[in-house]
Formats: sequence, C-alpha cells, structure tokens
Amino acid sequence: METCPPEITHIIAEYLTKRALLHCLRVSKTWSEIFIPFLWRNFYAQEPRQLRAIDTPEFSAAVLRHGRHINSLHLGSYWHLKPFLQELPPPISPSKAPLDDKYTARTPTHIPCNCVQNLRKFELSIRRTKKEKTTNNSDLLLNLSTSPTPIFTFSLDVSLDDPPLVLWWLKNNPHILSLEFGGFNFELEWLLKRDRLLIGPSSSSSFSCAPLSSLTQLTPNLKDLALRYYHTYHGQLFRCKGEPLARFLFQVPETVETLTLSGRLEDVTDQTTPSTLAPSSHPVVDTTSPTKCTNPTNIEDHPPTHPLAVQRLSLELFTLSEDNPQHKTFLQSLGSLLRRCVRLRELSLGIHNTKHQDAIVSHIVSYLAEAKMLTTLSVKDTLADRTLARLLDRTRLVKEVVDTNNTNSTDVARLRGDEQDSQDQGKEDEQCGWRVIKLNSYTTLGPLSSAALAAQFPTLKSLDVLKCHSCPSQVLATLLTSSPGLETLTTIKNRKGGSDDYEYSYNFIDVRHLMERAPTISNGNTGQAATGWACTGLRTLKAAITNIPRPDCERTHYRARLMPARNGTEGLAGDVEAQALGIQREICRQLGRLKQLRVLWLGYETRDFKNLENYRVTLPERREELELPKKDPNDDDDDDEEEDVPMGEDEEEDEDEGEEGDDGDGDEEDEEGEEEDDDDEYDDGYDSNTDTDKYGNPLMYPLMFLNPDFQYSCLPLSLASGLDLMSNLKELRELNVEQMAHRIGLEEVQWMVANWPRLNRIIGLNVKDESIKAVEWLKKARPWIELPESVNSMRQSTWDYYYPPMRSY
Amino acid sequence: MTVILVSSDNQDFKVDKEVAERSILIKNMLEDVGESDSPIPLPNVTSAVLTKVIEYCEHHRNDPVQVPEETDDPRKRSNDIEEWDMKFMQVDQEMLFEIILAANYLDIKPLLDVGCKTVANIIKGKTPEEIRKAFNIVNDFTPEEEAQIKKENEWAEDR
Repeated sequence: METCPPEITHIIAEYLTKRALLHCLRVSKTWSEIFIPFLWRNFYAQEPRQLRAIDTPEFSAAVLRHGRHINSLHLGSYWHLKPFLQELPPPISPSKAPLDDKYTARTPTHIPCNCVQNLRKFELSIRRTKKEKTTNNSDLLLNLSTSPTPIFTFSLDVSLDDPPLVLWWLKNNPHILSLEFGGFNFELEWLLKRDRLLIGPSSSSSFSCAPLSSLTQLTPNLKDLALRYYHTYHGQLFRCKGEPLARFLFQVPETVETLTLSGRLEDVTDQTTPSTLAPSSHPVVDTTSPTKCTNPTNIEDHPPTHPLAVQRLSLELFTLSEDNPQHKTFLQSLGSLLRRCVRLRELSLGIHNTKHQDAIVSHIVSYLAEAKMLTTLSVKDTLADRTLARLLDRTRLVKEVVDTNNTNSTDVARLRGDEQDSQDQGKEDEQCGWRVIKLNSYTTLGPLSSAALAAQFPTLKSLDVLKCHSCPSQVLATLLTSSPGLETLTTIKNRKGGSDDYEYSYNFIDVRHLMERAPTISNGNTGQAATGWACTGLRTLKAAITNIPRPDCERTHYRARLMPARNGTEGLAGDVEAQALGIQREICRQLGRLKQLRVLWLGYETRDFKNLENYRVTLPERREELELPKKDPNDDDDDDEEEDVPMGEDEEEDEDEGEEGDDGDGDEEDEEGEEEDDDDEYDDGYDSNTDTDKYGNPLMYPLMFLNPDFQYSCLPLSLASGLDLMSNLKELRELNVEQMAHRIGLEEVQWMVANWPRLNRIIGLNVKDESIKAVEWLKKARPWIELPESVNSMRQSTWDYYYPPMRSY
Repeated sequence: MTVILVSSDNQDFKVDKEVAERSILIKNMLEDVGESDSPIPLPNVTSAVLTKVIEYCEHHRNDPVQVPEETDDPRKRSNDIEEWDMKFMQVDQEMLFEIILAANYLDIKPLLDVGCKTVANIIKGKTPEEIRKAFNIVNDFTPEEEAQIKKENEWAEDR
C-alpha cells in the first residue's frame, strides 16, 4: 500500500466505507496520511454525539491540519462552526489565485483564510433550541463567507436573524448554484416590503444597497431556489402574506431550474413586523442602478411574460384559500408563473386545505396544459378522489375536451379490466401521459383516480405508491400485465429503511388479479404459455404479491392459531396442492421473463387491514397453555413457518405474549374505546361477558393486529415451486424476501448464486433453520453478497407488537 | 493477428492482438506504430505478472466496453466482483499489488478496478490490528498518538 502511487490508493479509498476508513487511519502513520483526505472530504456532524466529538481542543487542532480536505460540510449547530473558522497561520496559507478580478476586490489576498479553504458545499441543519436562538450567528457566517474559494451550495434550514447579511453574503458568493432558505417566516416579507435593502454586515463601514429584484444580479448562476421550512409542524412553516409572495413569484430569476415553495400563507389581518429587522441604524446608500428598482404596482399591472428555466417545481401550500383576496392575488401570479414555466418537467404538489383543494388544484392544472415536457408528478398530500383524478389524468388535462365532472361511467369501465379500451386510448395520447408518478402522504385512490391512473399506464415508466394509503390490487395488477414501458414499481419498502420505520404500505397485489389479467395462463399445468406480463422492461419491482395459495403454511398470531386460518387456498377446489403449485410456478415463470430486473423485492407483511375484523385468535389464559399449531399432515417434515422465530429470540417473544395474555382484557377494552369513534365493527361478534362469540366458538379475542413478522400467502421461492423458472434474471442484483414465509434453503441459495451472476444483496434470509444453513454457506462461499440484518432477527423493540399501524381510513 | 510482448525479464509473450488491446496503453501503441511485427517491450512488468494479466485479458477478450452504470448510491460498491475475477484475484498480496500496478501501467481499467475492490474487501470489516497483520505493517504509532488519531476522528464513528 505504501508503495502504491496515489491514483491507486485513491481508487481503493473510493471503495471503502467510513468505518473501514476509520480503521485504516489507525494502522500506521503512512496509512493515516493516505486516508485522512478521504474521510474528511465529506464532513458530517449532526447528532449530539458527533457534535460533542468535535467540541474538543484536539479536534480544533485537527481541523487546522485537515480542514483543507473538507469539500462538503454538514453541521447540526452554529456553535460547532467555530473550529472550522479558525484562520490558518499566514505561512501555510496558500496563495490561491482568485478566478476573477471582480472577486479579488473583496478578498484581501493574505488574510483571512479559513482552514476550510476548499469548502464547496455548506449545510446547516439546526434543531431549534433556546441556546441556539440566542447565538449571534451572523458573525459566524460572516467568517465563513471569507473562504477564498466559492461555496457553490449553501443551505440553511434556520431563520437568519439578519436578512441584510444574507444578501451581503450572496453578493460575496456569486458562484452560488444552490440556495435554500428555510424558516423564511419574516425575512421574505420584510425584503419584499422594501424596494431597497441595506446590505452589509452591521460592523462594516462600507454599505451598498440593492432591491430584491437584483437577487438575479447577486447570484448570476442561481439554479435552485427554495423557500421552505423543514419542520413539519404547521406553526413552524414559513409564513408569508399572499401579496408579497405573489410579487416574489414575478421576480423569480431566469436561471432558476428548481423552485420550491413550501409554507403557509399568512392571514391578511396579521400585520406584525419583527422589530429586530428595522435597519434604521444604517444609512441607506443607493449605489445600484435605480432602474432595477421596479415599482411593485408596475409588476402586477404588467407581469413578465418571458419564459423561465424552471424544470422542477415543488409547491406545498397550507391555508391557501380562494376566498381571501390576497390569496387570490397569489393564485393569479402563481398561474402566471406556471404559464411561463414552459420547460417544466417535474411537478410536486401539496395543497393542504381540504375545503379549497379541488378549486386550487384545477386552477393549477389548467395552467399546466402548455407544459409539454411535464412528465413527472409527485402528489404530496391527501387529495379527494375527484381532485386526484383531475391531477392524474394528464391525457385529458392536455386535451381539455372532456368535462371533468362528467366522467365516472367510462373511466370506471376502463378500470374494471377493459384494458383494450385504455390501451387504444393511450396510443393516441402517447406523448402527453405522465411518465413518473409518485403518490405520497396517505393519498387514497378512489374509483375516479384509479381510472385516471390506469389511463396513464401506456406511458408510465415509474410508479411509486409507497405511502399511498390504498392503491387497489386490480390497478397494480393491470399495470404489471399491460404496461410495456414500465421500469419501476414501488409499493413496499424495507422496514428498516429510514427514519419513518413505522410507515407501512397498504398496497399489495392479489395473485388472483394477476392471473385474471394474463388469461392464457390457467392452472399452471399448461406449461410454457406464450404470453405473459407486458412489463418486460421492468428493472425494479418492489411489490408484495399476496394470496398465493400455500397449503404448507398456517397463519398464526404469535403462536396462537388464527381463525379462519387463511393461507390462500380458500376458493380452490379439488387437488389444492397441485393448483397451488401451479399458481406458484406461474408467478415465478412470469417473474422469470422480466430479464431486465435488477431489484426484486417480494417480502413484506401484507396485513389485510380491510378484513382484519374477521380474524379471531384464541388466547389461552396462561402462557403454559400456548399450543403450537398442529402440523398439516400433508406437510413434509422440515421445521415449519409457524415456528418462525429464530432460536434465542423465543424468550422475549414469550414475555410479550405473556404480558398480553395477562392483562389482555384491559388492553382490548382500551383499544376498543379508541376504535369506537370511527368504527364500530369491532363490537360485532365480540362480547367480553360471554364465553362464546357469535360464531359459537370458544372465547376469542378480536385480532387487533397480526403478527408483524410474516407474510404467509407469498411465493415459497423453493426450487420445487418455481424458482428454477427464474434463471433468466441475469441482471438481478438484489433480492428481498423479508418477512416472507419463504422456503429458501441451501439448495435454493446455491442455485441463485449459480444463475444470477450479479446478485450482491439478499435481504431477509436469516429466518429458519434451513435458511441459516444457507446464510452460513453464503458467508463462506460468496462473502461479497450483502446479507443485511433482517427485521426477523432484530426484534429490538416491542413497539411493533403493541402499537400496530392505524387501520386504513 | 498476434502481438509479441516482452516482459522486464526478457521473456516473449505471443498474444492475439484482440487480447493485447484490452490494454489501452498497448492499443494506443499499436495504433501509433501501425502494422508492425516488432515486439513491444513492457519494462515495468515481470513475466510472472504479465502471465496473470494476459490470463485476465484472455478471459475478458469479448467483454463489451465498460459503461459506467447509473446508480442511486453515490458510494461505490466493492461487492460486485464476478466469480471468475474473484478466483483470479486469489493470489498472494505481493502479486495482487503487482497486478494492480501493472493494470495501472497498462491502462486496463476493469482489471484495475477489480484489483482495488479486492484490496478494499480485504480491508473492510477488519480492525486496525487485523489490517496490520493482513498487510504486514508495523504499527509506528505510540499509544498516545493512536488515541489522538481516534479522538480527532471520532465524529465519523457510526454505531
């Protein structure tokens, strides 16, 4: 390693994780020198633990030595910015030639030079605390802005208490490519109220002045402009009166490609202006061209019409109301802005006001008809069915022919399986359908919006319904079987992914809908049918296919038997096993045809919330009476899914169970009470005073939630059940079988490795004995295949058990 | 058509032009020289290493030109080495670095990448002491210095 030329160590370091780099540093002095730059390149300290680590004299000394390696700096606190602002001692200070004379003027060549001289990107993300509020952050930022090289990206999600400083700062960083201000609750208003601003640090004696419209001049390269607040509490969102914001929309610089407006429109009566902002102490000296100081009334009378470069527009607006005259003004200027966004490609929309939502959305939608390049839609809030349909149906939107209020019959018919119709429709309008749709924030697809979505299938490349509350299985099945252009479908996510671990997807694909929609396939005895799903270009499939008959499985709730014990075989008559196998193999065959697949996620809990109230579970009084569910006599003798808990975890499991058993009554009643408001179904058939329920069964508890551990009626993925039909997935890199009652054992894993050469990640294997063997083999034979710890072995909290996700509303 | 490569210890290697051209260095050389039978001297590569490099190029002679793949993950992954390459790289460490150096000199990008990934994989998951052992490195830190290094970089620790 020591003898390697730097270009080679550079490549090696690129492949190392942060943790590995840390270990490398401690190997020897030479290694430390080699790897320090790579570790320090992206400096990230957000957590209190990390911040404590940089609050030491040792660290301050280290920054002086290593600060020059920092390219990107992310901090969670102003206080901790200090070490990065240390000046380098003069002799070490490199004489970097400024890019242009223009910039030399402001930066004296000798001092000051921060130790983070190569900083390109700076992010400050602060969780407000009292301590932070009282800090005078201006001075700190001021120091940072004397960095000799330009910072390209600057992001603050805090409210700066000194808006002039912001503009001064902008002026000194004309290279800025990305600018983000959150918590802009009063600055914007303050800026807009004045035609001229005092710019300059309060301590400096040189002042200049510029109107806001010269934002463009100050930042000639501004690409990304965002006014928003990260925190989701409504009270903390940026607030702005409709009128000033409306004027701001007229002044969006022409270079901006990404525009984000996220916040709350202030009520018209609120006239408070923060007193801290009064610039009275500074003499106003006008040095900029007065012609640029456009009179605001002029702007509104003659709104600019030249096209903007905006490609991505994100709107998230709260309390927007049509009745309010100021808001109306805002809506008008928004419309005028939208008309000018001729190059718009992506739209992200959230109108958090149920009363006026529909009107506002249709208002916005009507201005988008001319944005021919607009193909990506992200819906960020809960919209009514009709409103969502309005937004989704891009085809109709562009044509502007069909009356949106008079739709139901044809659209619903289209949805109900008449794909021929929708395909024909699609060919005509191929250019103008949505390509990428992301439904977020608990959107619910009703019949109208489902139909509108289905109408986009011919052009659709990517659909993400991860957080969509209900996307009907029929729609998803139709999408898979009929959309040739589909590349990505996301309906499930890894439980351990990200901070919002407790958000669940309620969307799954019922295998029966898939089978209906690929009609040439019958019971699977037909062998290789020629037809199949149309989505042969699919690269990423993250979807739980459910209701696959699994005669070998029995549902349990912890260890208690589930009634009715549904395992997908309901409705099958005759030779259940053969039919089940036929269906399992058929799905495998279809998946095997998707040769472009790179990521295949099948594993997820598919709690059927709609039918949850139909489930009952027998809970014995005492723990000892817990019985293991009876084995199916037809079952082969390998250890089974009911007993899916890994060894050593049983103890904890039992405790949970015990607790629930002991005070089960109390719990149930509490839950019951909560449920009563919105839903009375639980009372039905359950009476705690009798010994039997209405079915005459012994006392059973209504199932408030299912064991979160398992997806039962899923693909077994054993070689016998069709894995062997998937040998064409040569591009497959990632397989997720998390929480599935799969039967992947050693043989299956060996087959996968032999047939899927690019496989490098399998999630959710370590469940049962058979899988454990496979895991051990993999670790030895294919050490580079990642086997992330699965939820099944995690069990670190009992949260899941007692606080299941809300039932769908 | 074949090309003759001469290693630093003066051994001749006769290889197909197609195979030799996996090396961008040789490819450019051949293009500059044009049709010529004169052997190409490779003074930086020993015969043992050149044998390995040629073995790699033979196996990958039909590979398409690498296209950088678009991924969501900006961090590069080192766990996607093909099985054959994995076996190919199972050599002692001296040879491994020799191969990397040769790949760098001969400008064979895929081989260079595989080599670097292999080194990265050796490093990954090891403690500093294990790394020292693996690469035969003497710890020249005093305990105080090592503690200081640890302290200075604590911000990067994840858990």
